[in-house]
Amino acid sequence: MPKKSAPKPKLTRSQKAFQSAPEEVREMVKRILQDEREVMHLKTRPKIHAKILEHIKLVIR
Amino acid sequence: MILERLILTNFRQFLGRQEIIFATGKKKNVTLVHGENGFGKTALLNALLWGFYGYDGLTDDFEHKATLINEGLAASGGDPNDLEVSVTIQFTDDRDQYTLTRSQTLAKQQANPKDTKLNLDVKRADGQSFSDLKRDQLQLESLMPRGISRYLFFNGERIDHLAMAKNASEITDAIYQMLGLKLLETTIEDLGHQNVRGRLNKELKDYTDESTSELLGQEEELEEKIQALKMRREACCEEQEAVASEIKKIGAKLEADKATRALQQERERLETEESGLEQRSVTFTTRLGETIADSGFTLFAQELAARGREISTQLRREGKIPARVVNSFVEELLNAHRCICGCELVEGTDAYEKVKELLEIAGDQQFNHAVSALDHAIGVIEGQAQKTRNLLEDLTKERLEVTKASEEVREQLAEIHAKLSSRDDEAVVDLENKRQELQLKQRELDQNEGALRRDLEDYGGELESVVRQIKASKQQAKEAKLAKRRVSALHDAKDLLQTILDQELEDLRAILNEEIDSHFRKIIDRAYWAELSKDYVLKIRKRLDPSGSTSPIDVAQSTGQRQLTSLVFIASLVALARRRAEIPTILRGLDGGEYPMVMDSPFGQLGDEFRSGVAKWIPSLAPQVILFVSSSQYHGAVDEQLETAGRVGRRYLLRYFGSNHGKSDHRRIRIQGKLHPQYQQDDSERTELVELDS
Repeated sequence: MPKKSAPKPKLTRSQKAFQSAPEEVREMVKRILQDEREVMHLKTRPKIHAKILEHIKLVIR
Repeated sequence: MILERLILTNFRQFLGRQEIIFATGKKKNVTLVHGENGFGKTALLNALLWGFYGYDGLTDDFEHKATLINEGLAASGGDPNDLEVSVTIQFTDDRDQYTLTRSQTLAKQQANPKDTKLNLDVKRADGQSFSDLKRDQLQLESLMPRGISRYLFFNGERIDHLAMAKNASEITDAIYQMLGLKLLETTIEDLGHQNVRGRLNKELKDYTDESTSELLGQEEELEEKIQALKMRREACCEEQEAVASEIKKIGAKLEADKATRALQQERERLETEESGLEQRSVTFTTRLGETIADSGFTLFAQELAARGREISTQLRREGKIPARVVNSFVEELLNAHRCICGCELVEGTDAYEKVKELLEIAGDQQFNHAVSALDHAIGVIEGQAQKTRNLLEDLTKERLEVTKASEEVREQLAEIHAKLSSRDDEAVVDLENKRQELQLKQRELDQNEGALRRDLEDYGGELESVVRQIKASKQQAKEAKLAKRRVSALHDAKDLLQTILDQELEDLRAILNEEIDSHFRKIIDRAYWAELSKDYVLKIRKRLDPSGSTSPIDVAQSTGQRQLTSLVFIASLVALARRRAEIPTILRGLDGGEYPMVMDSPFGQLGDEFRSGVAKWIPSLAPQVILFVSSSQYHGAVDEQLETAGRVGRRYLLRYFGSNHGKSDHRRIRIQGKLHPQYQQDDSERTELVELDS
């Protein structure tokens, strides 16, 4: 008897919006959010802007 | 995060070493600190905040922020490098144990009150211990972000502003902070920063044609204007808060004075009524606008409808409508060469010609449908016109009544002002005059804020249009193409994040609404319900008609009701934060966060009917609750409810030593049936923390 796979969880509206964005935008957003998580609580985040620029330039070539 | 212990050394009136061990039980999760006004409740709240965030964390109502070392000690003449104030907080977070100590010598306090020494020791659940001085503050703020603190450590008497319509942005901020959406907001801000967007724009400008370059210049200009407007609006909002707080302070002073209490209380009641009437007036005006937009045309179309009815009646009379014979039917008979009577229809015969003549008076099926539709439309317009007229009349009448009632309330308020400002008491007259000045200032600030908000909306619209044009521009050179792709990708990323943020916030609003309403109904026993509206305003609503056939209306909230809705909102957020991991979100790794609620005077402005409910339900929402209460706030409903529920795990008393607190009725406090001394005459002024049986 074939194994029944678990039903996929329903996507939220924001998950759907993310999935329908172009691949390169998704990739950029993922990378940027990863860096932002570490510094989001700081009042000043001087290095984050350089990192964001780097991500954009690396993804959009 | 669960707070375990607070150790104070020479912090304000807490001379020497004093400590509180907090209740951490699942059921017995409430720590009660009893203390009369002026004995150190606000200082305790600020000791926790100073421990976590230093000088910048102290609350606005904490006076003389720059001098934290016990005054007597500071004046003792000891070496300023040896005299020290310190706060140690022990807490756990996700099974890791933390000990933070913030300290400051008198010498440093005098040189720069913001310069403190912080040490954070961590003992991981796996037994490893470490301390990293350079990253202590960063680590601390990732555990308890500064933005969250004002929703967790607060003066209960000043929390009611959250339930004011103009503070909707604070509500969204609280949701962002407590439920993890701050990450999205911060990223959107960073993407729009001059160092990111500005640089990419400059690269495009260097390679692009003149028209795109001009658009980029416009974008830059608009961004600058928007930024400046945002800053002005922020400053305006801060000023609004400061003015409101000043008015409140004056109100409290007038209420504390027996001679002016009744008038001030009456004024507060009238002001609540006035604000309710204003809200009703806005509702009626909005409904008037909607009615005119949706069905106002029916009033102007009345003549047209009457003419239509006349023509249709005339045509009916003449037998022209509806068509008595359908042409497709006649054509079918002619094509089939047979009549319905069975007679053969041969072209050229008399019978054939007779049937063919029917085509002259026949109409098609669609024509008949159109006639029916016309009859129906005329009927609808005639009926709707009457309904619209009635509705407009009712709404106008009600709006006029509200306007009249508002005028009466304003007159009564003016009378109160006249009575207070003509009293034979200089202090009262000064307070009253100051209050009026502040109210005028408040009105001016409200207008400014509204104008700034409208400007921001206008410029925001212009900016959107310019960005659309930049994205649509065509580039020829290779470098320009790449630069434009990057600029477009940046805007796309920003738009995507904004969409995600809006949708996550809207989805959370629905869940939060269920949470808020279920707790609110437990506390308030009337036919009211609490709601976080689409524009993020905390509202209490009701139906005028108990059967539920009318639309709900907003209830004008008194200060006590606003305090209640704000408390329920925060407690609901804390409860949701605990089960955050169960709520679907796009943000990965959002675990449930446990946060304590630390409240100074949370029952201050609540009436007896709400005190009981708040004391009963709030401890079941947050994992840990720490309450600083005066005897007048505690005795009665709160005492009864907390004791019955068996929630109090630890209990402390602030015992004051000094020479100038002579009120005999404050010398002892009765707690759980026992009398405890809470004031002792002594030359050395200080407060001691005394643990009592819980």
